Amino acid sequence: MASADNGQLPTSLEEVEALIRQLYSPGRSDQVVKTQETLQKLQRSPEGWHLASSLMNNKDQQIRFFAALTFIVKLNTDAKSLSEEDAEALLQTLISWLIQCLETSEGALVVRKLCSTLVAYFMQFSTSWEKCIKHLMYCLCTNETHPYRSLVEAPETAVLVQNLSDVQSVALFWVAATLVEEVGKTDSNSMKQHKFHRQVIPNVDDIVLLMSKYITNMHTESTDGKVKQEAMKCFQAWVSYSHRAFIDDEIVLEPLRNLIEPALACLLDDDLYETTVELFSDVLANYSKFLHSADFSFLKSLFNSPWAQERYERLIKGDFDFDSLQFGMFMIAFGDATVTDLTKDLEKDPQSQQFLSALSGLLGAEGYAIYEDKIYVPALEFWNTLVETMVDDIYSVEGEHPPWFRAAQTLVMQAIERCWRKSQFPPAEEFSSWDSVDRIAFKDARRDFSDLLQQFFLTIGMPLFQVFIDLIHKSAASMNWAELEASIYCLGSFADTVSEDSLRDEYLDKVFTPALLDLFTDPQTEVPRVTMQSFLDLVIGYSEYFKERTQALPKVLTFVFQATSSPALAKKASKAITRLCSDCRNILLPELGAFLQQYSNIASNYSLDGSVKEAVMEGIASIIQALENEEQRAAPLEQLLDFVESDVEQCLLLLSSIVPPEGDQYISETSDIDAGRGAMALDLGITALKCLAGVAKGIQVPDDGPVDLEKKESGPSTFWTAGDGSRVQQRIYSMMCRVYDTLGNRGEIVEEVCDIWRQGFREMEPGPFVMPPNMAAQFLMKANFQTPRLVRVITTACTLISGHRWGAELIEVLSALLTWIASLLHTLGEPGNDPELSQTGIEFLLRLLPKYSQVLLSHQPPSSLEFMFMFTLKALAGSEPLPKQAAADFWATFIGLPNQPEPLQGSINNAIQHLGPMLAQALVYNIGGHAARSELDKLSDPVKKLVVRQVNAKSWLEAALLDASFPSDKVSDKDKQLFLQKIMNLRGARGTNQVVREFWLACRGTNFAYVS
Amino acid sequence: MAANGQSFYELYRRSSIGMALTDTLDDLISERRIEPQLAMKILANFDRSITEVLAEKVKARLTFKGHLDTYRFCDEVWTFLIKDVTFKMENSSQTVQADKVKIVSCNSKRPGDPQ
Repeated sequence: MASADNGQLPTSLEEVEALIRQLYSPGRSDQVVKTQETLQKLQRSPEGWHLASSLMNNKDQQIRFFAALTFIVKLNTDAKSLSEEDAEALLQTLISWLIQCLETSEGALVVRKLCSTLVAYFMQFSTSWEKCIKHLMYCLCTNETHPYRSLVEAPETAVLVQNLSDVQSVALFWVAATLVEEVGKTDSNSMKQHKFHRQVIPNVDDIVLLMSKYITNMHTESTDGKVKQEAMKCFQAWVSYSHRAFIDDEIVLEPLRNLIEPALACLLDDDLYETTVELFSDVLANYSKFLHSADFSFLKSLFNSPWAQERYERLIKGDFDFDSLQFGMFMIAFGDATVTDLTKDLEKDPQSQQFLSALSGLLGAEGYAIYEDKIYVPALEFWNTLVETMVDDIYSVEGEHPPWFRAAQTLVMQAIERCWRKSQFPPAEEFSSWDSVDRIAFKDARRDFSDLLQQFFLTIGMPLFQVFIDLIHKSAASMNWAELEASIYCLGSFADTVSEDSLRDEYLDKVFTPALLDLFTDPQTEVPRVTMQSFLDLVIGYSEYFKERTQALPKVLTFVFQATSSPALAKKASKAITRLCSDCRNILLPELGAFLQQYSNIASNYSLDGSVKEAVMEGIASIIQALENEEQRAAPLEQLLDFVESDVEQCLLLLSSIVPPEGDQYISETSDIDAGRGAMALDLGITALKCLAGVAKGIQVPDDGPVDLEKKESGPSTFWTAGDGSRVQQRIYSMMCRVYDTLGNRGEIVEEVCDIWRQGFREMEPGPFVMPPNMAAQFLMKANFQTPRLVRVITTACTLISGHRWGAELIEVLSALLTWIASLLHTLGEPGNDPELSQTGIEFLLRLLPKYSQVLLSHQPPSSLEFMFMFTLKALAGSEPLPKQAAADFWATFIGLPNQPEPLQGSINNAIQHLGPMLAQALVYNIGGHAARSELDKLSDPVKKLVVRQVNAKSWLEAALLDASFPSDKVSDKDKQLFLQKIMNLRGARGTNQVVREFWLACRGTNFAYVS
Repeated sequence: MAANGQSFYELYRRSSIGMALTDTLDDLISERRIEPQLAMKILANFDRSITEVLAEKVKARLTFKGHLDTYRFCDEVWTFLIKDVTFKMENSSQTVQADKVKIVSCNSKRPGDPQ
């Protein structure tokens, strides 16, 4: 017997049946894959049709299912092989089979698949089976297969519908629903080509008559509820499809709308409630134009009926079962669809008022949001929509608020009050018992509420701000921490919104009062952690306020420094310190000594996270930056560096106590005994470097400072590089070296060191971290092929190239860096060996091009330069996307370089003449089908540059197109010539990308035209 | 139901995740592991899912300031060209600068949907 194992196809029907059984039985996954492959080969083979017919009468249900599946596969892949007669015969076979299935009470598995087969047939032969639904009705009614042409002899559809049994009706519903689902999935291009919508239209009247039989009340009593559900599901599928038909072709399937009213009445039928409410929720959310205005009126009154009241009460009392929640979603969908009318009718229509009040009530359902209350978030989204509507209409009536505005504002204020309650955290122990998804979602819901507040602020202004100030005072007085936290959180939401309001500070005076600050700093009062965190966020958000109102600053600083001692608050507190120090740097200058003292208290806390120390250092450094001149800055800066140095010393001391294994230049932490000390040393090293990075950030000159136009230019200061400040610079450099030289085998250390260098490179003014480029290069070139995160070091070197500060002295440094990069690429060998390194290496070369192309072209020895050029070409022709993109950028820039002075231009020309044919070959190899689709735009850039800048471009590209290495045999030489002609004629214009794309597609074949 | 009836913009196919998906589908077709029809359906699903996920799941936010250079509203598409833009990320003190930013925004509801 043939088996899937040896890849042979089965030779008898019995063998096929055995394989099918094997496929559907539990077994090893690799065996299943092999079996499936064998069966798929059979299905796709020319004998597939015969196989399906032979299997459809098998006594095994799974085999009959496979038979139907085989018909589908054949129809989808091989329908063109059928003649008109064959197609007709196939339809007869399928319908006969369906009749037989229904007569023999075949299980749903096979019948459903067979229904899908009939739909697959329709998708292939829709023009010759236009009225497929009526034809099927006719055949099922008579239990006989009639040829399609005899449909003219069939009775009226209404007669057929009355004679169909429930089982037959269900099968028809399955066919009809699958039909529109499949047509609905057709992509737009195929839809235009086959005009499926037009083929579906003739069936609408027929299926509506059948659905009507079960959906209208007349038939309710005598029919099985399941058939009615199938009818409703079919209606749902058709309504959904009608939306697609409307979008594509503006086709309105009017007969379907006749069923809306009876379908709405089904909401009251418990059996049909779930399907019906889902249907109308979707219609309201996606295609409310489908409904008549009378339907909206009906729905509005329905929501005010006792039936709705009962469901509403259940929901807000905490029943969040599926059907109850569905009702809430239904209400919201109706609200969304009619939000404009509801708000505009607020004053004159009590039903609108009542409905909106009910939607507001949804925000106050029982239970904690997310964890228990599942309707809160959707309801909040509705209120966000309503407020957005208000913002749109804010000045819609002759520059004034529209008349309904005030009533809407009142309603929104009620909604806000409910949201404020919902946003209050549960007790800490309860909150921590929730799972993380719920905790995150709860915080997300709070942020959605803050969005609403910001939007609503636009319509009402500072009175809303005042609401939360009052709530803060009220809850602080009663020490209701959950309320206080929520109020502080809400007030914090306005930080960006009110930043330019002239009254902001006056309002904030009422917030940052001594009484409130005392509450947070009083050691006798145990304020919960979340409330403290929110207050810290408030300080961060309004840090600019303290620049204007200095009286509150001392207490606030005491509070934030106190908070650094709590692990749970330290990060936020340090961030607050950074912000306060940065924003109030000039005011805090007299306190610099006290700050340094405060830091010494913090520094002694070894359990403190490195990023906390970094943030505090950054803050203090920003105060130092405010000192008038460089000389004054040096001394306090040295004091800060003392703290860092102490960490460095401690780190080295710990490391010195560990004996390194022989032959290891770095300290290894693999020894069990020393592992603890090694880890502690690493932490200290990272902290020290983080602190340096913090100082580097803080000491930077703010870019929004005033520019003194009268000031005489006296050239950049050399205080930090050659003057007294050079000692500071040397200290910084030495600390970086000492940590890096001992712990440079750790990626975290490399990252931190690079971060410090980058801070210096981005600085616009001379400073302690703005070191001469040779110092930076010397440091970076310590990295070798074994260095972890080497890519980070190279990208840092790239940043150095972009700095404009150093002028001509940079050239020598860049030459040395280029030699270093070249040696790294030599060691790497092929671009594919480490794509990330290759990419950054090429990007370094790319960065050199615009301003320092002489550095690249004068690289020695020439063989090394040639190696680098060849490296980029290999990357271009390779399969790795990142190096390929970098190489495409490199070549586009290199070919497009503006004219350079001699002899540089001569070198460039020589290089291009020598490498041009190879470049053209790499590009054509990609465009000829090798490249991924997403790379084509990038690859078009060098093509465009070649065409515009190089006279030999045409001959190079032509040779590459006709070369034996061209990857596709799907295009002729004529096609290639045409492509060449087109891109030459375009002369580098944007259209080249499209021509390249089309040619790539032609080379790949029609299978790849599935996406536009 | 929305999955069948509502059509979605194809604009996210040009995003990096969309392009990566298309490249992967191309590879699968090259290896004859799937048919283009399936690739098409997967992309249609992607159009829907990315739209829904971005709308529902992405909560990160940023603010930006800049000089509005040009704006237009054509065929239901807003286009803004902003110069000298500073982006401020949530939960980060660092800012990101850009010389020029183009914002293309489409109505979240396709034409034909309720407004």
